[in-house]
This record gives sequence, C-alpha cells and structure tokens, in this order.
Amino acid sequence: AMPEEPRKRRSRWGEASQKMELPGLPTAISSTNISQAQLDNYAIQLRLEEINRKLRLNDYVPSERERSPSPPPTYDSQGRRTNTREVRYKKKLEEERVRLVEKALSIDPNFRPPVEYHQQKRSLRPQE
Amino acid sequence: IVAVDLNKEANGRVVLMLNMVVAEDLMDDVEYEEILDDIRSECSGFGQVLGVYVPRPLKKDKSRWDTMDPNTMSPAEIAKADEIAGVGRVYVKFSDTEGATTAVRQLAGRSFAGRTIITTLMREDDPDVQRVFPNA
Repeated sequence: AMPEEPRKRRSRWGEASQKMELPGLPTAISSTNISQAQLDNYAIQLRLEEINRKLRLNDYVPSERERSPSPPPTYDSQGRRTNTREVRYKKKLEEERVRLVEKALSIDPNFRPPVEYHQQKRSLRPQE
Repeated sequence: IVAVDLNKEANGRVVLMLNMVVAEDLMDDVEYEEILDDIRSECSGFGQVLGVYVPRPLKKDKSRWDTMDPNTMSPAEIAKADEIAGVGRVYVKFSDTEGATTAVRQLAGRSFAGRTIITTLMREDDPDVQRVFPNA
C-alpha cells in the first residue's frame, strides 16, 4: 500500500512497469520518410485499437487517482442508476471511437472501421 | 509505419510523442500547466530537457490570433487550423541525442492519462522541428 502523504497532485503518468503492447502496432516508431499526416493517422489507428481493447476487456475505469470527480447520480424510470462510473467511462470511449473513425474516414475513404464500431452504431438507436 | 531502430537512427535531440494529449485537455490553463509539469519532470529523468512544446487549440492560443480569429471561424475551420498547428502532439527537446533516444525507448508504450504513448525521434533539420524550436 502507498504511504499516506499530504495529498500531492496526481501525475498523469502510468507505471513504467505497465507498458501497453498492441500486436502489430509498435510504439517507438521511425519517422524517416514518414509524413506528418502519416504519423497522425497512425496515432488514430493505435488509439482505436487501444479503445477496442479497453472495451473488450472491460478495462475502462481509470485507477482511483486518475478519476475525475463524479457527477450527481441520475436514475432511470425503474430507479436504476444510469450514470455509474462504468457507464460514464464506457460511453466516453465509445464516443471517442466514433469521432476517430469519422476522422479516419475523412482522411481515407477506404479506411475500414473496427467491427465494434458498426455494432455500436447499430446499438446507438435511441433507447432512452 | 515501422518500429524505430535506434542503432541506425540515433541522430536527433527532439522527441515527438503522439496519442498523449487531446485538444480538450489543453483548454484549461491549470490543466495545461500541470501537463507541461508532468512531461518536464518525467523527461528530466532521461537527460537535460531544453524545451517542451505542446501546441494549444486556437481558442486558447492568442499568439495566433493576429492571423486567425477563432470567433469568426467555423468549427471545421478551427479544427483544421488546430490540426495544422499540431494540436495533440508533444515535442520535447533534449540537450543531447542520448537523452532523446533514451526517452524514445523508455516512454514508448507508457500510459499518460490512460493513453498509450507513441514516440519518435525527429531530425534536427526537419522543418517541423525548426518551426517548433526555431532558435535551436
């Protein structure tokens, strides 16, 4: 357990021992003969893969020190809470994925969105 | 896009990091300063840091308002301007190549606010580097 010290501002850095590895997507990359646009596109691609993975593994709630303050609770008509931490962070990532796919498509019309993106689009029909 | 071979490409002092920040993180002044602090303190562990450059969105970057006025621009135009300015990128300049290559190696794949960092070493004569650190 971490010793309790006078509350220091949280750093945004994750542990050096917990590096993320995504198959086929190197993180230390060469910039030789690579355009700015190619670099930025690659960042989109990697982020999409990262989001897919987080959602697939249900690994989207940040550790306690990385969390932002919770908004007041909201409930549906059955009295079930609708904005739990899980719901909020999941929604945030899904929304980011939609933005990223749209951006990637605007750059490259042949871009193939992840399967999950289509599933999500289908499930985004109004429910509430 | 291929993995860097630092034995062949170790000729630069500027590290570019991607997938580390997004425009919305850079709007608030306090948050922006915290981000700069976080980057500076972590990178200092790899070598002497000469400069950290994190472009801000046009709405928060008054130095660009002499040529562009975000109040008269459409959201799409603002987004385009931010893209050209490199919003979302993080540049760190080290005093020597060794610090930069160590940072490229060590920071790749690290998480920053839940995002996995991509690192790359930039050549000194890269026009983008010259723009970011003009008096180098």
